[in-house]
Amino acid sequence: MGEYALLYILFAPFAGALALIFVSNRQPLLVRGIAASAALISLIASVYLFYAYDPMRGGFQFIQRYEWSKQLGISLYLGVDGIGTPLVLASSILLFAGIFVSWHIKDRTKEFYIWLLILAAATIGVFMSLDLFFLYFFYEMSVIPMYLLLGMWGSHTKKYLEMTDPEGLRLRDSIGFIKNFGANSKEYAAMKLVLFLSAFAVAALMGILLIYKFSGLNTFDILALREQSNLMHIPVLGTTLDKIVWILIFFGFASIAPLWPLHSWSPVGHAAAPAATSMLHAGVLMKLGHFSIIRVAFEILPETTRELMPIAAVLCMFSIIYGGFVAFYAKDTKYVIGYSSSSHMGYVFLGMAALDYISLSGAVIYMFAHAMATGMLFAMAGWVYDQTHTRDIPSLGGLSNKMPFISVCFVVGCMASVGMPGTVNFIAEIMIIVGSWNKYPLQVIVAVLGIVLTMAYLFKMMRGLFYGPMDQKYSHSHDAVSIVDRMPLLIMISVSIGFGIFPMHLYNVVRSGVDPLVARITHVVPVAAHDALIPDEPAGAGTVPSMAHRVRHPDDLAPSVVRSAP
Amino acid sequence: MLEELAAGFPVLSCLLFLPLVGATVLWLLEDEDLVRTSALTIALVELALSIFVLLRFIPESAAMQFVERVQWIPALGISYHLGVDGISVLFVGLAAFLAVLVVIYSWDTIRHQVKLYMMCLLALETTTMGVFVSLDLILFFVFWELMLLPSYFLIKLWGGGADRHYAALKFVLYTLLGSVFMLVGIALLNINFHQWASLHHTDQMYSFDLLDLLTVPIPLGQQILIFWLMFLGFAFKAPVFPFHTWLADALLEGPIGMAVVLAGLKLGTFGFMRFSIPLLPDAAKSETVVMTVVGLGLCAILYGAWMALVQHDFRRLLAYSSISHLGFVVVGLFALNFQGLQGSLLTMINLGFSTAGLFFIAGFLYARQHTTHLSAFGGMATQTPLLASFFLLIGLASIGLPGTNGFVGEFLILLGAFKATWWFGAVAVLGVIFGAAYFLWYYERAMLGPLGKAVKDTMSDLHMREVVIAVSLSVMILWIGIYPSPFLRIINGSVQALVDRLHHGTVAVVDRPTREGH
Repeated sequence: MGEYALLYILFAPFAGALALIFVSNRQPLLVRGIAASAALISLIASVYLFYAYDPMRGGFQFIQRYEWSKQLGISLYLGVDGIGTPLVLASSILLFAGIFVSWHIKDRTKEFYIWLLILAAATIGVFMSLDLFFLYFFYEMSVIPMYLLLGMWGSHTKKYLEMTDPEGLRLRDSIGFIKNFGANSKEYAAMKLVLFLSAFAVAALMGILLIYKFSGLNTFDILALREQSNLMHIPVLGTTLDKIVWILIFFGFASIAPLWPLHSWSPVGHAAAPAATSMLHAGVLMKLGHFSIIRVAFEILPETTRELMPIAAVLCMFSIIYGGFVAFYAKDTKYVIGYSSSSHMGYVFLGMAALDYISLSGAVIYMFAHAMATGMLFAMAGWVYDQTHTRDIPSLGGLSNKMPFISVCFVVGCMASVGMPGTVNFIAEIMIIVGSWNKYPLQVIVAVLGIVLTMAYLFKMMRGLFYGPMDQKYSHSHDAVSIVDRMPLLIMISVSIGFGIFPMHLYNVVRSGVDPLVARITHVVPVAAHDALIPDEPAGAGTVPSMAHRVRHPDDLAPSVVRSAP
Repeated sequence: MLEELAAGFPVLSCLLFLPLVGATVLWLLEDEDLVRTSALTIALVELALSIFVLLRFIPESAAMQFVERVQWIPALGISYHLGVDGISVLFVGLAAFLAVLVVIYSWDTIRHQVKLYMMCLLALETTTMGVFVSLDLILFFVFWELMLLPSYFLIKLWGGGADRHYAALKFVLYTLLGSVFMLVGIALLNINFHQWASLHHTDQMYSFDLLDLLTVPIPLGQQILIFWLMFLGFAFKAPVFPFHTWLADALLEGPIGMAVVLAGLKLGTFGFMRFSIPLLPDAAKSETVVMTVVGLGLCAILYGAWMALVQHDFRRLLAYSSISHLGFVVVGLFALNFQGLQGSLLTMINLGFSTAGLFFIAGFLYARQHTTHLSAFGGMATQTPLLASFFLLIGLASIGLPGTNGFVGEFLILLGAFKATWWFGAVAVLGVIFGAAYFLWYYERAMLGPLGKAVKDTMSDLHMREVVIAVSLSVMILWIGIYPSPFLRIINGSVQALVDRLHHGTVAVVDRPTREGH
């Protein structure tokens, strides 16, 4: 395997999806078996990748490059750095867990697994793309499976089901109707998600194409672009081009993150989605936004990032507080977790906005940690829904007698989500808070209040679901007893706690990716000024003279060097 | 070696006349099953011939290949001149491919006058082939006009709608109107050649031959006049935005087979690429022309998509989505750079699989409910899973999901548009969003959700012939989507030559008249 690890991780789910096409739905065990083994191959390869990644060497490793179109400068260029590696691992863990969480889906099992595998493979593809074309390719590819997973296997909200008036239903299903909080069909949710994401993806695409056009390098290669593209001095519409490109890229990708004013598709989507889809959606799909901003905006436009990243610092406060309050008042389990995810993504933005070694590392670790925590919560919300057929918190209660295992896991999930010491979330949170304090004290205070809020709504939900009196109509519900049902939860819990106790390798890997990036953004002469000034003057205005050189990844000089297996 | 082979074996003539001869043979047959089988055989042989052409075609080359030339009316410089280059060769394959599928589709959906129907189809195939392989403008024009005959009868006699007579007439009149202007343009080209020839005392005084005309410089004013005349001809046929009103009627009222050919083979935009841009490069790159044509293209993208969003009839939706897609093609063409032209050409081919494929899907729906109106559907995915799956795949290709052919073409067009003028791309990109909206919304209402009232429990899923159609389309869609380089290699040479020509204008070629020699 060795250097081909990325290909295994990326193409095993695709191969699984392809194989499933030729299997009949009448053999559900075979269908699940194929899906699970495809996910397992991907998981094993990404665990290997994670531990074989050499943080001492840093840079992009496991590079694979296949020419796709020479004339356009597009190639399938895969490679991971310290930022991509943990996210690839998180995706394949969640895919593997998701396959088992959806083990009991009876309706069109095969198609469900096909789309789930494609969704996961596409997200994994984004995390390892070093070519803007393929980054966008996989990014777009991840949207459509969501549409189908929601539209076919999703569920309506309670309020929607209660509405019997046909005119009202029609109104609420139309895409133009926006004020339908909590009362929408799954089709509406699916449509809203696709339109939101494709509209903003198109904004990001425009940014990418502008980079391609104005860099004049005739390549989509991110590593080539970040060294040589020079968009700083092209005046457009009263400002410079790099700012426009940065805004397009930032908001284009922030919509999937989801950053505050662009978030509304996300909880609606969570509420409609089946459990495994919510897991992948909240766990990794949302991180595509942060990751793509880091990979495209941070890498290619470091100067502009330094100038404009305060935008994120402002918006993230709204994300944290608004998401937290809505989660507190929401009555639907998936809305609570959905808004909590959207609130927690504000922490990641805060960590990114501070542009500090510690805070950005914290943000990356937080993405990994949040994937596990929210994955658990969605899996268990899905279990409760399967057993009781409702997600309405007030009508539930006292389930801990019926499902002791689930309720214990739920406590652990809530703890992880809050950031209890001992879970990896704690480490991430503390890093974000410590790292951002110098630059954004107000935001840090908001973030700490957000943690309190998180605790409040998660414990409120926990009490509502598992404690208090139980309605007798739920007496038939039962616990997760079989190994198939317990395994996904146990995997996510052990990953979360395992990295909470032994975080060093994760930390080293992430730092190896973050350090050169932050160094580039905070201390570096603009590339253009650098090229123009050398050798007459060592530094341009507004830069730190002692750091007046371009920081390079060690790999850049020889990008084709591939690390061999230990 | 290939030249010798092509000289020895007139493969393009065979391609051109095989369906026509086949149609005559069908005339002699009586038994309906025999008619169907023979029509299929002819279409398959035609497909085999076109695959032969594609395999023997030398990629990355701008030269005309498989050239055949016989004098026809020497006094006027009209000749029977056939040949294919990177621009046209894929269309030949596409036309033959679609013809096979249409014959398969029509197997049991056409119940009356089967023989006449098949004859019309094959005659239509000859004329479309003729449009793609003609290198003489008069020959081209003959096929262009002849195409109307079988089309008219196909719509009028086998159309499903009540207004089919009206639609057929409208189609013919609109196209004729455009082609009259085009004929004037062709005549002006010939006159220009004559003037130049008289001035330089060459042997040949008149020519309608594309390759001859390419060697003659044309004054800019003249070029712009001719450009607009030819533009009208192609724009009516394409149809480009304000000339589009016949399309929805013809597609809705006509039979599915006709709709597949009309929507799948982008003859109008092919005309731009084959004749307008290479013959009139200075006009094509002049500011007013680019602004007007791209402006129309952008209007078409938004207008088509917006109209498609509110349609309840699937075929009408497809008609407007075609208009929107053609807007993309036009924007890509008049970006006038390598990526734009390459993307447009690839998109024209792609639409032959995706839009035509969606018309087949419409046909499958029509065969079940005798309408494509939304009210007849709802929640079909549970009843007809295969139909729903192929519907989705082909639809996703038409909205440009990565991994399907639509994405590659659309991306190249956007890239080209951005390279030309960034706001072309910025507006065009909106079409992508609308595209996702109108398709997915219709799909959701027709296929997902609870079972519609009009949907019977007994509705059957795709049968064998329909599966064959859907699978062959899907294979092409995924092939181009995942591994487009064989197709791009075929078109690259000619597109590069076209870009060079645009760069130099007409005057430069005079020094080396055999540049595109055969």
